[in-house]
Amino acid sequence: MRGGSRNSSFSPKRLLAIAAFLLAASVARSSFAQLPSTRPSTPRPPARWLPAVPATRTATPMVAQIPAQIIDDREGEPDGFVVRKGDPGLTDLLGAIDEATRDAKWEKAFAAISKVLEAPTDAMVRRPDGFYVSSRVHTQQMLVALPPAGRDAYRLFNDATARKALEQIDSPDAGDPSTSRIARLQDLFDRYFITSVGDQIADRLGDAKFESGDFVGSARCWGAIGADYPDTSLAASRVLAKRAIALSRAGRWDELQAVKTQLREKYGGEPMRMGGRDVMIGSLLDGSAASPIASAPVTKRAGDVGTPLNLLPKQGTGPSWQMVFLYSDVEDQIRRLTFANSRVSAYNPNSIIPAAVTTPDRIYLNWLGIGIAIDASTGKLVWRSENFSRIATRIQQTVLSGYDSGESSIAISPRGDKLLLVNGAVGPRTVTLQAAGVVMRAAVNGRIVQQPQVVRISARPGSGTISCMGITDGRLLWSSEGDTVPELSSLSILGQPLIVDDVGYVIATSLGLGYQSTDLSLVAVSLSDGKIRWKMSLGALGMGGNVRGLITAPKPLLTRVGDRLYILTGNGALLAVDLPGQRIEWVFTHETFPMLASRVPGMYRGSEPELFGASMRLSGSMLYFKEKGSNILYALDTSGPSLKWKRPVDRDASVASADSSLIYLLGDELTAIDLMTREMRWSARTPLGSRQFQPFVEGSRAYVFGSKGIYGVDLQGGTMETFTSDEANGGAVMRLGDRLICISSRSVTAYPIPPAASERP
Amino acid sequence: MRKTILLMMLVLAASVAQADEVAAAARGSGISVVGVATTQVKPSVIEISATLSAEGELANDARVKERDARQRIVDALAVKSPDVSVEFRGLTINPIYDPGALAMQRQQQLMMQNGVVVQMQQNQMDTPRRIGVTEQVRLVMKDADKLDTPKLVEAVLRLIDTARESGLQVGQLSLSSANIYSSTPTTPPAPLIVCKAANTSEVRAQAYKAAIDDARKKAQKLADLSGVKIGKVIGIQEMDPAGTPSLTAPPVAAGQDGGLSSILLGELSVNVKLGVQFEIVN
Repeated sequence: MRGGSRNSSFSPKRLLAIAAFLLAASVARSSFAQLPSTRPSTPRPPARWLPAVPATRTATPMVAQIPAQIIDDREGEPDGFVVRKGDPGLTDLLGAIDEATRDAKWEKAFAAISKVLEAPTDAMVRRPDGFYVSSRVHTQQMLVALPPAGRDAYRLFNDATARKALEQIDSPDAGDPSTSRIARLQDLFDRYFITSVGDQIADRLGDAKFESGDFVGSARCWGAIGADYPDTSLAASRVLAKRAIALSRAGRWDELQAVKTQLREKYGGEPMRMGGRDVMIGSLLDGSAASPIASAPVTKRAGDVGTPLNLLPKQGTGPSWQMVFLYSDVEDQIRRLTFANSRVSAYNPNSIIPAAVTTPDRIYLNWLGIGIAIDASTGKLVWRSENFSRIATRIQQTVLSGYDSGESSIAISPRGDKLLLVNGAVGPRTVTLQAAGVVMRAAVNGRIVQQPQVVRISARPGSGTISCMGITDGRLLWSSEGDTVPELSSLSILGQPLIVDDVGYVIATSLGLGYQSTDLSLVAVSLSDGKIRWKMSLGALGMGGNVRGLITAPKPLLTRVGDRLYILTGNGALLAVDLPGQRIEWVFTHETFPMLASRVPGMYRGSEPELFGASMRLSGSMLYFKEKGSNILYALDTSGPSLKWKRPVDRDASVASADSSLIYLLGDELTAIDLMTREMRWSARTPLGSRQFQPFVEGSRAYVFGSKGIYGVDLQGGTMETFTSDEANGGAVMRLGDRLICISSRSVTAYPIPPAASERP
Repeated sequence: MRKTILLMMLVLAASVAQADEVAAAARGSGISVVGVATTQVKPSVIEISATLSAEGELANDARVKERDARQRIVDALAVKSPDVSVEFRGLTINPIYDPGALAMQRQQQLMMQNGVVVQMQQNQMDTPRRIGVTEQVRLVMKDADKLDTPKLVEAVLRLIDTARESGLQVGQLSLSSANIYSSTPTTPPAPLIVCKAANTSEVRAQAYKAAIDDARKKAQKLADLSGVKIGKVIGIQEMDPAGTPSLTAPPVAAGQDGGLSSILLGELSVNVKLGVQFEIVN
């Protein structure tokens, strides 16, 4: 007995640590268990060091930050992304508002509205058209739809508060940064739009959004005044003119035409003060270059933009310079490795194209985690973060092992001083995790103290890491692969990062015990130190198995307009996130590429073809997107939001560009689809090698670096010219000054642009 | 009555026997030989068979792709091979099957039959999804007889490269259009290259003359050995290469090609084999 008590494995401290482990495991498992049962279940073997814990184990953490509930009510919904419905109580409140409004019980209705708007998180409400909108947006729409008696009652209750809040925002002391101002105005707009100062709130919010570049958002604010605020004290002509300007900036030509007609007919002869001088409203509508309202939409075609210059080098032109990063001996080594591992997950290891960004004087590459800087004028190597020969090991341990697809991402800070590199980790990495928020109570000197319990786990190779490098010399500033930023290290970073000012936005999943979590988050990372500024949960991510049976996560895409961030998860959802408010505005779920049933033992799995990644293009308020491997192209009007149309397209295609009348898709053909009729107009044959790039569009032409050289395709009619280059596998092409830069899996080559086309259009 | 019939049969048998004797006597009165001749002729037309295929998720997409691919071929040949004409010989439209998905479905069914629980997905891939349009194309190179053989070979190979660059599938079966699981036998692909002579009547005339001369020489030799002299030709029969009388040889109109073609790139041969009978003059 004494011997037993001396045994360290049974000491109280040890027992508490084991208990923490078990709690962490049970919490992690419970979060898995909350996933809908209709989704394909993945066999998750326990981590090597973790004792097997029964799934039914009931352990209540003392302090546990359990993720919001995921409700399994996905009947009839497409496979893939699981929308986080949020607090079911909020859904009940929305029902109560509806009921109280019907019964004209205003006090009860407003109390419930207040609760919804003040709730720390939003619930997602499913609309009949398949969109999920936040409870906040839904409530605002309910307020607008109140009958006159309800409006009057709401003003009676809230006018004073609204007026005071607006005065505070307008006061000279409120020197908020623009994002904070937008967030506060948005909050006022949601709550008090139907009060007597609602039109002024909407007008100020429109101004703020316009200044931040969110033209669709600003047009929506001014549109709300015209549509839902009939007794406004603001000059209707001014509101309408502002809306017209915003619509023209947003490229929403149909709506603009209607607004222009309204302006011309009602207020054409009236003056309006603009830019410190009086102008006639009619003169704003003449389509002149001086007018802030753009002219006819037909001029806004990709095929018509700029002068029709052809950047394609003349046949036989030699390169200005070439910088080879894949040496022949390493190339042979990779070829031998590939031969030994014939079944690879997706991308051909022999043709991995580095992700690239440029500055006027340099080209920066992310080659599976190896950072490279090249002088744009001479092609000389400026710096590299690692020896190039290590690429063979990286390819072997990640791509050939099936842990990673081989896609890398790179982004440059607006100041041009930092680079963010995202790619799969080469080897397993040790990660420190707080045990799902469990707090230990340990006896120290007879006192009970609280201390956070952490566990260290081993994350498998291929988990997404993010590194920040100094642009001057490639010095590593911070990386989630190390211990310097433990909070960030506990995440697997997915897809392309987006940098706004000094914040990097990334999509990430938590690294769980043994496997990645399916919980998907938007993470705002400080560029200066890699610390997480904030993190918000987006939902749960369905993951599929690759050809080797390993779980792989899709690569989400991010696009920002003003303060709204669009996230294409790559697995069945498009989300609109309000960045200042840190909340989901709406979610559109859609069909996703079926996950192949690698989970069933013995199931046939052919080798996976190399396909273009997910793609998303914003043209005005229209967002066109297509997931990797999906055969459906979606067109969403983000102002509604509403699904305008969807159309079958080739699986292996990427949205290359879009204008007001055509959308261009790139696969083995570059095709143009009419946005009105949705019929294919033309196709040009563009045989490709690698698919790890996006085409480059300038003026009236698209440039594609394919297997036969660089193709220059005229976007008006689809005629194509080919410049034969030395590289056979294609890659990315971009313009830097008077040169076309071609990035292949082996080298970066610069070709001179013909002198006549060197001037930027 | 019975006696009359027997008598008539007897008379008929006697007349047949007499006719055979007359024929044998006639054969014996001449020398029959086979004259052979071969004349070379340059092909004047080279035809290259190819396939143009396009596919799309929508049938109309496939049509647009095929239309534009067809125009690309016409444009490319107009620039690089202006003497070559293109003949489009009709479309076939087929559903496209994904062999991987089909194999997976088959395996899934097999597993279910064997009692294995297979999880079905909501958005299971349907097959077939795509539509393929395939068009048979013939590239026709005229005036090939104006080139010597090495130049001709070079021109034909360059034309094949041009055709392939512009998107034609030359000399290979389009897998996308093939119904790989069809139990019906597929027609064998057309030969890649067919060389044709446009007008063979003159060459054939030369060949016939040479064959007659050859026959005359042979007959003369036989006559010399036999101590007789040959007279005029009393019978000619054209024979096929096996040596049997050609009963189905179509009549060749003057100035028309007699169907002379070859899948071999080079000079064409006109082979003539004639059975000639010469009279024996005492």
